Amino acid sequence: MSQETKKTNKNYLSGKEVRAIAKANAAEMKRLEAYKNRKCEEKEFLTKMRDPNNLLEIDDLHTFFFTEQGVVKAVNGVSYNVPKNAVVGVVGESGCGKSVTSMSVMRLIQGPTGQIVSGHIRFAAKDTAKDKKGKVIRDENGEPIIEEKVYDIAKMPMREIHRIRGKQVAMIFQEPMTSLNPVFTIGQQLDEVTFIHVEGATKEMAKEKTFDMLRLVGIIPENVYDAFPHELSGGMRQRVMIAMALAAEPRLIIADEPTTALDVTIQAQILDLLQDIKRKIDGSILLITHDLGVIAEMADYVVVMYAGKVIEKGTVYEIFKDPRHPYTIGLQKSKPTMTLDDSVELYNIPGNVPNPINMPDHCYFKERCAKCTAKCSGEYPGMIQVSPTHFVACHLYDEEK
Amino acid sequence: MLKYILKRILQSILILIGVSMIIYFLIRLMPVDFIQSKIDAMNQGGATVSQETVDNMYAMYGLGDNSFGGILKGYFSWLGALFQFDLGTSFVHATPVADVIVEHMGVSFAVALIATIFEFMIAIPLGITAATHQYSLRDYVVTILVMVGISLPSFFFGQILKDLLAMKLGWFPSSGLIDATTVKEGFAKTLDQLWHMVIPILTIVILSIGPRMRMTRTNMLEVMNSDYIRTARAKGLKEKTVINKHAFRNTMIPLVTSMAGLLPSLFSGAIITEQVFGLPGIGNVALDAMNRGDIPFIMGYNMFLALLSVLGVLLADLMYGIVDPRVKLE
Repeated sequence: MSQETKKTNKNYLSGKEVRAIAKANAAEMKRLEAYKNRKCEEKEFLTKMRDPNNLLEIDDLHTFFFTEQGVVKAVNGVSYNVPKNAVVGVVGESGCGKSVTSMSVMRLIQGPTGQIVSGHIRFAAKDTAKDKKGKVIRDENGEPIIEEKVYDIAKMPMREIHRIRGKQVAMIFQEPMTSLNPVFTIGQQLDEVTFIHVEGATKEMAKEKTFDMLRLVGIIPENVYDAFPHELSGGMRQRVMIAMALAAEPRLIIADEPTTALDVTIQAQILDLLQDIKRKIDGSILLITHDLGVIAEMADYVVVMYAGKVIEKGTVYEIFKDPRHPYTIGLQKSKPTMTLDDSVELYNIPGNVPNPINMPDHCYFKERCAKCTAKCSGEYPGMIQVSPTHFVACHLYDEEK
Repeated sequence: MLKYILKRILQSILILIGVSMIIYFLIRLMPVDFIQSKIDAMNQGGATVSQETVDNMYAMYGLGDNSFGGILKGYFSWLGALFQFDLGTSFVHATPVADVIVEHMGVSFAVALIATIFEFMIAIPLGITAATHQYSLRDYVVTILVMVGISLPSFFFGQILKDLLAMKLGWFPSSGLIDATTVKEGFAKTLDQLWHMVIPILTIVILSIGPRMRMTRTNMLEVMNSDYIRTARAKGLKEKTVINKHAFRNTMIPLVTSMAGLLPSLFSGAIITEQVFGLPGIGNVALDAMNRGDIPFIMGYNMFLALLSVLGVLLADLMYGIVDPRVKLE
């Protein structure tokens, strides 16, 4: 590369810069890994909910990836709540940080490069009370006592994380084709969930539970119990994944683009199934998707994300009837509609998501925004309350404050 | 299943015949002449060997005609004898080839077997721990040591170990298989032989850990980054179970491929290492036979290894069917 192109190419890093990045990353990753693997008392990660009606409160969460090119701020100060018994939809284009946020809730961010840097993830867990030795405390009738504890998941050390995963929060993944272990049968993989979460579970108990779960997702259990994942179709595998997520009766189910990898007819079936399950379980669903149709169908609340930040949130009615942020408005407009008029071209938001390394100080949407004003070159807009439930981060609404 | 195995065995026989033909032609075209060196030795001893005797000797060993037809004829007479389970008589040892192989196999097999067991026992856990602690100090230390191991040639590293452990420290005998100064019988003799094998085994183990460990590490890393491991973690499994149950079974699949090469390597003998430590193993004998043009022995030895290779591949394929449920053998 000549000297000239080196200067004009913004992504070019000199050897000195690369070494500086590597050194800073190594120090930061080491510190965060040590924090993740520390031993600590339970009280260190116990906390209180801001609003007792919420099941999950994500508060100013920062999840970064320490890459060789620099720090990617995949989630950069995200805050939203999941109320009890509600469906919250998170929308945004690829790479906006919606999946990383949900992975952070499960603490599934792949270390050491990916780390939760700061923020809180408060979760109201309901579990059997245990004494200091880990034995279940029972009342006079021998029934285990159920207690509600609020954990700050972002502060939990990895050795305690099994308290959350599966039993409290379960996840349905985007890729049903590769999310099941190819060398174990469906039965083995589903039974395992019961073995982990039910103390003293027997083989018969686990199998019975598995059969119930498979029936719940509309599969005849006898047909798949002894089958290997490769013998099932994509839709069937996603049903199995849903059954697996439901098996430990979690309070929160995170569905991370559950229908993206499936064809349209199967998508409809899976969504029907989720609707059905929403009624049957006593818990909340966090639905991540880039399909606005799915959100309109399923969600009670909507969170719109852009480049690692929440730009608008509100009830599904507010977001669809009264979208405020130019990006949300653009998203609504880019939905294809059925018209006879061929001259109407499908709207698309111009430009691309900015480079996640070295984000500008001003609004990230500025370069693509049609309603941009002089103010937009200033600092990043704060959250402005439009209604009791509706918030937007845009300078256009600054006066209303 | 049985049908599949039978089919594969029949295919193997065809392959082996092809292999034997190629090896036989190559050996006959080698510029080493057993008869010529024998005559040279006789000449040096002062005897004058007449041309007639020379011709007779060539004819006796079946090496008289080096034209294409002659070699072909030689090959078919070798093949004919083979079908009567006769590998011929070694030129050098003047005993049946099969007996020579059996006699020297034991040492090589013992060395290879012990070395392989240690290799697997050390390399696989090292590879797994390096992968599960990627970018940590442990990973870097293991990777660097392994790189050093891969880069060292066995004749060099063997000599260093010999110098250090046998010459300087005097802990182990430096070469050979038997302590010639005392007479030992029974169990004591076996123990003494094993004592002589320590440094060669050590050399082989240290040098072979590298590739096996690197392979395990790469496989493990690939598996650990896969979606189903994420699913296993999301279920609430402890990390230990995730690694030992969900990841390990999948790491085994590519390892099975390397099993194909294991069978012949157990019996082939470590030619260079045996040379360095003067072990009377099959590798040492084979090298000697090669240098002196011992055609029946080279044929027998190579065909033995070819047979084991073919069996090893078949075995690996059958293992695939067991380890990976996606593979159907039909």
